[in-house]
Amino acid sequence: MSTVSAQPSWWRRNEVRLAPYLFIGPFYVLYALFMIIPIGAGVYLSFTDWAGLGAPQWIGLENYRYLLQDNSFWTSLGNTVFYMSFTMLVVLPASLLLASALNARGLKLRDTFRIIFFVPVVISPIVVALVFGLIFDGQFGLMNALLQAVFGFGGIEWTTDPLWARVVVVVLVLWRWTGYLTIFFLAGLQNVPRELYEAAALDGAGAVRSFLSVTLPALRPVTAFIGVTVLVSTAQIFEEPFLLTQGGPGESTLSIAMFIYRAAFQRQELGYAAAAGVLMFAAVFTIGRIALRLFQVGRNA
Amino acid sequence: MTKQRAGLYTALTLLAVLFLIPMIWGVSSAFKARSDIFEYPPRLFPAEPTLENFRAILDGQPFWSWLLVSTLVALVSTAVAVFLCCLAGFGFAKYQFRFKNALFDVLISSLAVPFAVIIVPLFILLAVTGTLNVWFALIVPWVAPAFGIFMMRQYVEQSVPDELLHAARIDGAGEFRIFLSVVLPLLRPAVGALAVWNFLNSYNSFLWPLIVVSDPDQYTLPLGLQALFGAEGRQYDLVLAGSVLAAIPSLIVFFVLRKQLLDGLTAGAVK
Amino acid sequence: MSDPTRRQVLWGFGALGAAALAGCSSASATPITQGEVQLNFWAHDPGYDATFAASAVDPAIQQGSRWTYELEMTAANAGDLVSRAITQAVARRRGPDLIGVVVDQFPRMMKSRIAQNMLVPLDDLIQPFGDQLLKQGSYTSDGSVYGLESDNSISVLYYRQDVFQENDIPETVGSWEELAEAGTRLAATTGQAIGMVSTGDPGAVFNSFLQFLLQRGGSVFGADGSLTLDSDESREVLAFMRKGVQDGFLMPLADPYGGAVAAALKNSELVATVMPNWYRAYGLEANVPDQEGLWKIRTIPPFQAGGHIASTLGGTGFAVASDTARSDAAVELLRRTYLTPEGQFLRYQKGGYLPTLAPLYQEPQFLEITDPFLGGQRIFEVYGEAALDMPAFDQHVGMQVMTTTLGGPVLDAVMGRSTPDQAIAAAVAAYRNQVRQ
Repeated sequence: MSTVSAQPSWWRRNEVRLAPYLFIGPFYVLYALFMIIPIGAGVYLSFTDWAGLGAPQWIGLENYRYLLQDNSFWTSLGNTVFYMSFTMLVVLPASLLLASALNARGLKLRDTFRIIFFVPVVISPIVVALVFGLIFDGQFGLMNALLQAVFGFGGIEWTTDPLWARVVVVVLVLWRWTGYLTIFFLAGLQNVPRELYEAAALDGAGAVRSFLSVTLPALRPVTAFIGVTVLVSTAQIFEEPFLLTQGGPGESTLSIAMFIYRAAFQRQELGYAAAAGVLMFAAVFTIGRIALRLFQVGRNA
Repeated sequence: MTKQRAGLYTALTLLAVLFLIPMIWGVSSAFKARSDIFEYPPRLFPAEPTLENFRAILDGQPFWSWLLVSTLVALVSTAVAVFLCCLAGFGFAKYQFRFKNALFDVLISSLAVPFAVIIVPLFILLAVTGTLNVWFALIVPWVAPAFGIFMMRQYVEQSVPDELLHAARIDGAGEFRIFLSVVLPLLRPAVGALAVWNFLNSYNSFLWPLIVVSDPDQYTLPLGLQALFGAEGRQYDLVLAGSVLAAIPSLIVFFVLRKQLLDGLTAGAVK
Repeated sequence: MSDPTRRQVLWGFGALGAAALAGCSSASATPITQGEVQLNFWAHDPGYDATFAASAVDPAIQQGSRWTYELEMTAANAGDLVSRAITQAVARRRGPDLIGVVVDQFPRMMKSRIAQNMLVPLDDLIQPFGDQLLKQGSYTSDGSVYGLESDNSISVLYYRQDVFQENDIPETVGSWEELAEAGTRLAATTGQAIGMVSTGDPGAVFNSFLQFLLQRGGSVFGADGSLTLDSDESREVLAFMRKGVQDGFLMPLADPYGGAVAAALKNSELVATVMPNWYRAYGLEANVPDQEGLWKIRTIPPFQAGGHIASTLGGTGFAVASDTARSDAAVELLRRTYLTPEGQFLRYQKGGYLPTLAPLYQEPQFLEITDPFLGGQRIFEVYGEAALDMPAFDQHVGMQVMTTTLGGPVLDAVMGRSTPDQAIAAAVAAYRNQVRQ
């Protein structure tokens, strides 16, 4: 500093006011560049017919009109809703149950269990899908061999029957994500004061009632957070069906994200893919926002 | 031990075995010759265990290059992401400023933007601007994850007392200085969690690299394995060996930092 | 900027707010007319790298050429190669000079005139050969040919001679129906199958159906681009595949290369199958090298109702990027490697690719080739006969959509969940639903 002034510099005077903008700035710059602009470009592309080379042809609402008539799109939507229902109705409760079991007082090896259940999410999905493909091969897989040995029947066409293929995909989802969600619930449970349970016990509440009247309300914030995250991420499920079944047999495991990927990168229909993306955005964003608001995620009460 | 307790342990142990079977089966199959992988009846321990698959993938495929790309991308993006998330989390937790609520709302909303929506346009934008390479496309757009910022904000609120900040300001420290020397050290447990979370996400990510990276010299591990498997010949043997090797770094990172990850990851969600 | 399409590309991106307008590089440089030229060579299979690398330095093939070549090889899977070539073109960066486009990826380039914008039309180059050059249909878009096929991909019947002899199955059986009958007996007594149907992803299912369909004389699309799937041939083939699975002579397998096939081959559960020439290397020798000498090939027994004694599956067409300084040089390398007898022989030596010039099947150079894995069989006696009766495969812009829409219904029919009639109707309806007329 060449001059020493009595007055602090302009920056020093305003630092506390301006610093936070600089601190949070990088996120918004990246957000604008890599999210807002792409969404805008996606909306534009969705009104065009474009194969990736040459000028996009403006076709107005044609893409949307075709989408609504496209049975594949509805199939993928149906499948995605199925996956979402499964995670909300099965994976989520299963995680909560598992977390409650792990929260049992004085449980030995709690950390070991916690780690074992968590490990699947650590492993790359391609690896996981390969191993599941190995296990659920209809002709020579481990699963059928085990069923054969135990029940004398092992001819299930795991990945080639439309129904079983969906089962295999959700089993994979269950296996991959249950342990991950469990640790969130477990952390939530560990935050519930023991006194609440003791008070409930004094009132003569059984295990079920104390679960309903103490545990569930106390878990509301964590459930909300997990619920929204899971809802949004399952809405864009891609890796599990893509790697395991390629969406097959037929289109019975095709998800919306796969539909978009297929249109854009396998069929060169980039405008069409963008239109599907915009519809998906509208749906997921609305559901996500409503859920966030309902559950008050990210707000300090 | 009560009967109930015994039941609980049995159930948990059974479940743990179920969770472990696929991994064990994958590892065991990696040591089998190609034509033994599907032998009937299945054997948990290969009759003639072989290292041939590992040798073949290490000698015949650019496995180390895949590993290097994956690891470097994950390390760089993790380092930057952790720093930016801490910074932004601190900004949101400890300052009052105009539009704070609205900006935070935008941040939270971005959690609800499905990735599939932006992949096509983002891919095109990167292609057109000539930034469609592994170093830019796999790192830059993702270095400020909203989830990480949210998590750090929660953590800062819980663990950084306002008095410390006041004291530092009275000592004449600048805000960024305060962040570096006062706040960051206090965030260490959460930083560990965020770092592991981010590293694993990046190391294992599949869809985005699948779209962005088409130059085989820049393949990440998941892409290399996928290409190897998709190539004519569906080489289960090689791919399984590669998978086992690929899983090692992520498992090491996880086991070393497991406590921080499992505790830190949940900090933001619980409160 | 002489090329209007490139300006259009830029215009398109201008609307996307692209910053790429700066740094506009010259589109078409002055062509290199002689001397050393460095070519980017993209292919998915190392066999092509070996072929072109050898061809580039082969004095007999390059005799009198104005250019000398240096090849920069890039390998990636088939889909990525096309994606990346298009991306490079969009980003106006240097892409491949020579690219091997796998036949099921070519329809992507038939969209929005991508082939016309990116590739050199080869019509003048192949015009002198007329009908003697096989497999032009696979890489034709709007009447112009953009790729030269690398391999005639002739499907034959592979069979285990030892098993056939042990079980009194005549190797010279005259029709599919007779072979199916023998196969049914074999399945009932030993559990072995004489063929496979794919039950894997839609692409694999489609291919396994297509191979039978082409042999039976059916097709998915006609040469004129019309949808020809809805035919008696299609229904017959589906019924045949269903019967095969039911009676056990066709084994349902996820994909024809995977671990399950390896196990089936190793356990001698799969003792015959119809597959193209390249299956010897990729399917048989790779999985069961110890069965060397036990396998033989023959032409496929025809269906009684008609059709061919051969079929086809797969293939890779080589194409040249247009409007670069290196286009002429690349076309010349392609011509010398793929359209001369010396080149086609080299191609067979380096990668086992069958000639696409019909007269070569009668050349002693080929006829004398024996295959040790196939017990020293003189394989060109079989391929030569088959090449004369190869069904045509006509490419179509909707082929990829058809692949996915047909996969499910075919699988349903094969597994007995629907009738052939229902399956074909479902596929046609789904296809029409997804393709804009």
